[in-house]
Amino acid sequence: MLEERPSYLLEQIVFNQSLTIQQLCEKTNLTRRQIEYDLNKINAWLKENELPSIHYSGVKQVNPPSEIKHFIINTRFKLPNSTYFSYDVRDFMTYLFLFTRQEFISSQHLNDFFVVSRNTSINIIKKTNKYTEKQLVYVNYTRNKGYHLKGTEEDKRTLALQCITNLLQKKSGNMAIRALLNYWNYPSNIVFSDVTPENIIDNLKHTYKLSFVEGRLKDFKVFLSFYFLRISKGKFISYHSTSKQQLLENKMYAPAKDILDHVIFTIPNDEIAYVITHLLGLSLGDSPTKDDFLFNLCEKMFYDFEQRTCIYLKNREQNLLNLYQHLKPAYYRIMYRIPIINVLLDQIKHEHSELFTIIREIVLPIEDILNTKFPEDEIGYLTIYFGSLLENPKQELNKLEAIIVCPNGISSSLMLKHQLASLFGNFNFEKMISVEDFNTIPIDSYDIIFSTVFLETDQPLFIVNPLMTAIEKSLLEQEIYSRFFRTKPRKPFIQTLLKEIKQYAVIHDEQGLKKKLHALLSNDNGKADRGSHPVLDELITETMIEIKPAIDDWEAAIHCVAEPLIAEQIIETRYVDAIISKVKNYGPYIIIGPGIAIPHARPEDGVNKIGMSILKLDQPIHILNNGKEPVHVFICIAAIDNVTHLKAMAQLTRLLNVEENQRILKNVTSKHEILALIKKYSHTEG
Amino acid sequence: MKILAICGSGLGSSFMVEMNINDILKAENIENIEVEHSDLSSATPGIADLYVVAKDLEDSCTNLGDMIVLNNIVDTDELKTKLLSYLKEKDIS
Repeated sequence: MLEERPSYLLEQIVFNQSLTIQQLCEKTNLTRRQIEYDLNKINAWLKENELPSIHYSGVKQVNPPSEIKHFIINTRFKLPNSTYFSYDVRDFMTYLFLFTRQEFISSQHLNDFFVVSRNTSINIIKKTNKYTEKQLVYVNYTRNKGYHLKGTEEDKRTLALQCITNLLQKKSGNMAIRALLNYWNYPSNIVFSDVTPENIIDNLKHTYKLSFVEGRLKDFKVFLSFYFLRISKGKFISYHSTSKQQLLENKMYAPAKDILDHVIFTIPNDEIAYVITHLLGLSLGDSPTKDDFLFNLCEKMFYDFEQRTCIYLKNREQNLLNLYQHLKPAYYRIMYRIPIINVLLDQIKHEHSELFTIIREIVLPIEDILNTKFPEDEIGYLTIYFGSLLENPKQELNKLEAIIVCPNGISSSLMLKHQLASLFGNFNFEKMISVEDFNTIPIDSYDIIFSTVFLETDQPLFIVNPLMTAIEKSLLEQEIYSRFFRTKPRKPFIQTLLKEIKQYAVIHDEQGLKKKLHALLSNDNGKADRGSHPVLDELITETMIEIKPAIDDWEAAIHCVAEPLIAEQIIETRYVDAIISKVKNYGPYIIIGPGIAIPHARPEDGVNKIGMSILKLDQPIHILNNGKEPVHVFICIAAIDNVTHLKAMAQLTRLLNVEENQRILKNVTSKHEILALIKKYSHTEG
Repeated sequence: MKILAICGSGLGSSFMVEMNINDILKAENIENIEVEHSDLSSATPGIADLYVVAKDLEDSCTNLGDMIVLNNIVDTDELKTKLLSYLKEKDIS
């Protein structure tokens, strides 16, 4: 009997012709000494089987006699007992052995199969059970049935897939699988003759023009054989009739039926539905339709990704499509609990931990939809996907090429370079050139130009002073960030300015100055792009809604409506105080219509994040206790700047413009009624 | 011509009014009118031809220029009547 390592070596020698010892070392990760040692064992085994030995000393390449190959193909793999399997594959094998059992199984079967003692067999079973019970499948023994599996059919199959995926990661995995299938004489009496899983899949590719996720295809092909063995014993899955119907209406019906037509026995419709779930998790998403919610999810993921990384991704459409192709099968895999193993997971988590964390956050909406956790292995794959977007040199995501043009000598460009580099870490400031040279360099070799004089160019040009003042710097920063990164520069910036100013001047009205600076620096024309801003129902979620019978006074009402925003640290308490004092100073400006008020103050009054919340009072209250205008509905608005909230605001306006909606809002009795109304307006254009 | 909607903070209600004005102009097929919104302190005489404010700010805006005062900001009918009659008076519509 040949052990695992020499078996593996023999396989490599036989199926790769003419390898040198050096090449064998690389292929097998063994040392020359180990290879020679194993070859000795192999030759001893060959002699036992009356075969010629393999020459390896003094030859350039190892060329096994052809008889060995024939022997291996014809006999050896039909004699599974001739291979010794190590501990790390036995659990998986035992599970699959029981999963496909065609007869009563006693420990004697395992003794024979693994060529081990009875005690070892029993230990193997115990260990297998330890592994499977985590997935709610138990290895059970009764006098009647022998060793068998206990659990739901779905759990058992999911576990079988896991075992296969795990086995295929091991060196001896292929041998193990062959050994198992041969033990049950697969495929005789199961499928029509000469059909291999390869045929089946190739056939699907051609007939139905399906493209498959390459990484999963191998596992699936192997799984098919085990699956056929399983259902040959009438071990069928059963679905709830509605979900079955839904699955059977899927366009994967025909391919799934094709697969099962290869089986010689009859099977119920539920199994077609089951194969459909696999095909969904296996085939790449084709071109999405416009209202495909998965495609919308992809767009949202892209947007969230850009937001969190402050990186603007190029080639958006192509990349979106790629993401969709990846995400669609992943979505179904998670939905139908089809496992996927990411061998690189530990490495990814270690080397790209930030990216991994970001991806974990941006898949949260999908978790909400599926109501289950996104497996780390899948997150790992998405991390690779997004990581590849960042590493693709064509994207030039992080570092934009900037050039500095200067008419009068190098010293002012140097000065500029120093200042600009400290402002914009995202740019490469390699080139500094004179005006004359400017026209000689190709236009696509840079993304942005900083110059002290005006130049004729199609690329973005920023005219700057060699020595910039703090205000100039901040304006430039604002402009560049909004133009290239679609985000705001870091916030504390007005505070810094104020501090600087205080060193040199006496400030009479700090709040006033702050406000003016803010207006000056926030580039505010109210017309900025409203496309990528949060919509109403992203802001007003269930936790942001409160319904109360009555409240003591109007100030308490404003505190009450702001409460959820404070709890989420969207606003600070001083924001509420600002609203109240503004109302006292300017009058009830927050009342925008009969019974409806939108309490809000300015971003600089203590807003951390954009947000909105609603309070509905059954008993209306008078603002400033003036006896006029009783208010039923308070909608607290927290804006971070002059534009980000406008999309949601526009939707709110549309909602409030309809008198019927005002009436509904004043009379609602549950949060869900409010949410439904908000949802209805969250997709209207602003 | 240019219309400026004004509210105390320049964040919420003035934007609502801006939207509503735009809607009305579009429905009436009136072109070449620019509409913007701002806060009270940024509104100065001369930056717009017509100012639209809510009743509570009326007193603070008296010296800006032509002005429409709204009793109810979300009442589009009130806005429509007042806006169209103003435009008619100026011979724009």
